Amino acid sequence: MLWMVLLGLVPVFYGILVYILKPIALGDDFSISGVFPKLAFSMYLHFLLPLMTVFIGTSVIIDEVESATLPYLLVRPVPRWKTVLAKVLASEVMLAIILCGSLSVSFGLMSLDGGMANVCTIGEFFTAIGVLTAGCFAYISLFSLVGGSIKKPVLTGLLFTFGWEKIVGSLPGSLRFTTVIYYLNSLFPFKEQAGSSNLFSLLRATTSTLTAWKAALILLILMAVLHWAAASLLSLKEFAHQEE
Amino acid sequence: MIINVFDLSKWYGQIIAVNNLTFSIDPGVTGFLGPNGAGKTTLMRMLIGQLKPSQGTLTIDGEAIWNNHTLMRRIGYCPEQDAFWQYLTGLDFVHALIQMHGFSTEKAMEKAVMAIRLVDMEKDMHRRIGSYSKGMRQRIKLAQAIAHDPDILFLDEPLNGLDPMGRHQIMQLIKDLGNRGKIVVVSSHILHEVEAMTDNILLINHGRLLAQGTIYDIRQLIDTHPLQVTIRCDQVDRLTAFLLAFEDVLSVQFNREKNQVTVETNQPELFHQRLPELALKENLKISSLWSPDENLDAIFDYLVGG
Amino acid sequence: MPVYDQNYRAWKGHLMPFPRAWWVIAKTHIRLRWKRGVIALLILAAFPFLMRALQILAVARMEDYQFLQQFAKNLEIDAAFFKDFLFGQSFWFILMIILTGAGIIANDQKYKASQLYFSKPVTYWDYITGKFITVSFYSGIITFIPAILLFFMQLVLAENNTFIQSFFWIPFAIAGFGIIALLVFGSLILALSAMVSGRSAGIFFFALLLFPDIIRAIIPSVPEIGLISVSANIKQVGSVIFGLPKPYDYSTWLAGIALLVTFLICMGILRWRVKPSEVVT
Repeated sequence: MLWMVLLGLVPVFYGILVYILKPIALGDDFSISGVFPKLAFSMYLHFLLPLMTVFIGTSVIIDEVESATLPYLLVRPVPRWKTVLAKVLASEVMLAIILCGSLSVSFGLMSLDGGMANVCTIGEFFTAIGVLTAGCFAYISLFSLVGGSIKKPVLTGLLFTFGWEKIVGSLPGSLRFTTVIYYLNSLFPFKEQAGSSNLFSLLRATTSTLTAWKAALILLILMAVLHWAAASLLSLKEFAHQEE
Repeated sequence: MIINVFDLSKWYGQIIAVNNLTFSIDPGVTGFLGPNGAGKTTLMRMLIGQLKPSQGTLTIDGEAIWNNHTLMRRIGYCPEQDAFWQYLTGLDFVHALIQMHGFSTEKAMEKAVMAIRLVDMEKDMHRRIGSYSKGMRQRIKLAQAIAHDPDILFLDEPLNGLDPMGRHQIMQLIKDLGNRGKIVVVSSHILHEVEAMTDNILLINHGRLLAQGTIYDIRQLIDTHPLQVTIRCDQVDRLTAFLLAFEDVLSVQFNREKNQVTVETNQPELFHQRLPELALKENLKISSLWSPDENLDAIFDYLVGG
Repeated sequence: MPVYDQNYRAWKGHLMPFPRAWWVIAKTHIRLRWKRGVIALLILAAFPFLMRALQILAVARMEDYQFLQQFAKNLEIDAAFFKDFLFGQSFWFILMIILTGAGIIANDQKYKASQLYFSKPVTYWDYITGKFITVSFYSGIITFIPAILLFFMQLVLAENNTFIQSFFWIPFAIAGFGIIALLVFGSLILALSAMVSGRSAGIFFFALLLFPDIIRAIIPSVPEIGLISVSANIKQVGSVIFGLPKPYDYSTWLAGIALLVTFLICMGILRWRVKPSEVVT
């Protein structure tokens, strides 16, 4: 848990680093508040969110199985699907608090340089919070399903988020609809900078996104389906601690 | 209240872990016995609804166990694995699990403390489980199994890691629970301790049921193995001479130093009928009489050792 | 009768004078890790090697492939060829490090196997060396061994001595770069494995590699930010080892020092975390 909080606070440490570097190497012209949109997009949405959801999502059930504590939960008068759903939701809420809390602290830190209005509007800030929260819910339910069904869930999760989604999510065409990040990108208030030299960044910056309401609706349906799938499929599985 | 198992099998690919078991368990303490790999743990896991049977039925009072959360209100389970959320205190651990049964926070706390008191862990209940010794962890595991006063208890190696005093205490607790009309199923390798808790056993090997019943009943049924009877008598040489004449006596071991003779008979009932008659007729003073192999170890050896 | 008379004897032979515990640990773990996932990764990681081998073959037989002559400059076999091959294998290298190294110490701590290790005449250095060799073995198979093979393939197929005269130092560069990369990445994954669970170690390793690159992308105006990136420092040092221009605009010496500091921190963490047993109060 402590590791998760520390990982979530890494952008805050980065923000402090920027303040330290400004007088030494960045120059007086450098706008710290201008870093926030890039930080939110690259660090929070495209790095911390997928990384932490892979880790937490895959651990939801598998940690209990490996540590042989799952029988304590299943031999209780609580329907299995409720137990699974409760664990998934608790993880989602926990991670949402960590990420949104960290984003808020970063926002506050960067507002010290010229005021909140220089960083972004309040609407953009709360939209970013909302998208990160939706991302937590969508990804964790997906990866808890992966964690309970596949042998190497962490590797699969990393390949999906940093492989498939990175490549396919940026490409024009219909394959990007199979990624979660495409809908999150569509809703996120901060977009990729067009001047980036990375191919996928350029594609993300130039490829069209869905309208906000379409993206929100599809994301909601996706979250509902993933939660239903995780709760019902995992509740029918036999989880017996395998003695090695 | 009854657990009914009919034609129960469980396989993993090509491996049959439990093979065509049919039995029922009544209130009282029942011992599950068998060597390692016999299928006891698989059977136990099916009984608590952790594993789904591949074939057959498994019911408690007519209700199937698999995926039946309402039945779990009546079931308590003490697993064999030494597995905990190490950062919780003993009290928090039991309390949290009891709350899942629908008790209010205060009621759950009351029940948790009561259960912890029963297993003699009151002194250490506010310490983290990670700092407990093996015996303390075993007691806490037992506490969470009994705290909600279940009708049915499944205890997998409940005496693991306990000191002799602790073993005695817990065995007494288990016997009390059985006497109160609960179904208590105890799985163990320690035969003399199971024998001390119950007469009723279920002997499993290679996934098959080898025997079910009291130790005495099972022994009676093992007609392929002669019964050994040891007799201590003041005139052991005369007794031996008379016993040799019995046609059901297969072998005799004579020990003059100890004044005892051990016979093997393939008709124990007939032998036990004839012996007192002989003693009366020939005026032999028999000071003690016992059967070295009418116990669980011997039965286990006969049936499992092959 | 004393026990030893009844067929029990203490062995009166000689124990091996050469300390071999680290080799036993390494050998066992290498064998244990030979599983489907690792084999699949080895097969996938072989494709770039095959492509490079074909390139060497094509260049050696350029007169047979007229259509390639227009690309002759791009296909040249020089120091950049080997450097690019090694850097190109980084994705497979990282995956292999995670696959073989994430749980290598974490599982010992989880299943309390550390007690078993240290109840034998096994020192801390035996233990660490054995684990380190395991991680290096598989990572080396997909990077440095193929690079050396490519060098010898070029040597065999070269028409004259120009290549060997100009690039005789390449195997040493490959070996030197290999040692630095394996020491740094190997110690990093071992330290993470000693600190957290196997699954977490893989995630944190990934994060430690990716995160600094993201920071560098956000503040491109400060090239020294790259010093916090292990992969950037490795590339910086690696390019210089192969006699090529450095990719980033900061001192290679500083990159080397940063790698040394990373290595020392990891060794310190290992010293702190690798113990026979943990006492919880």
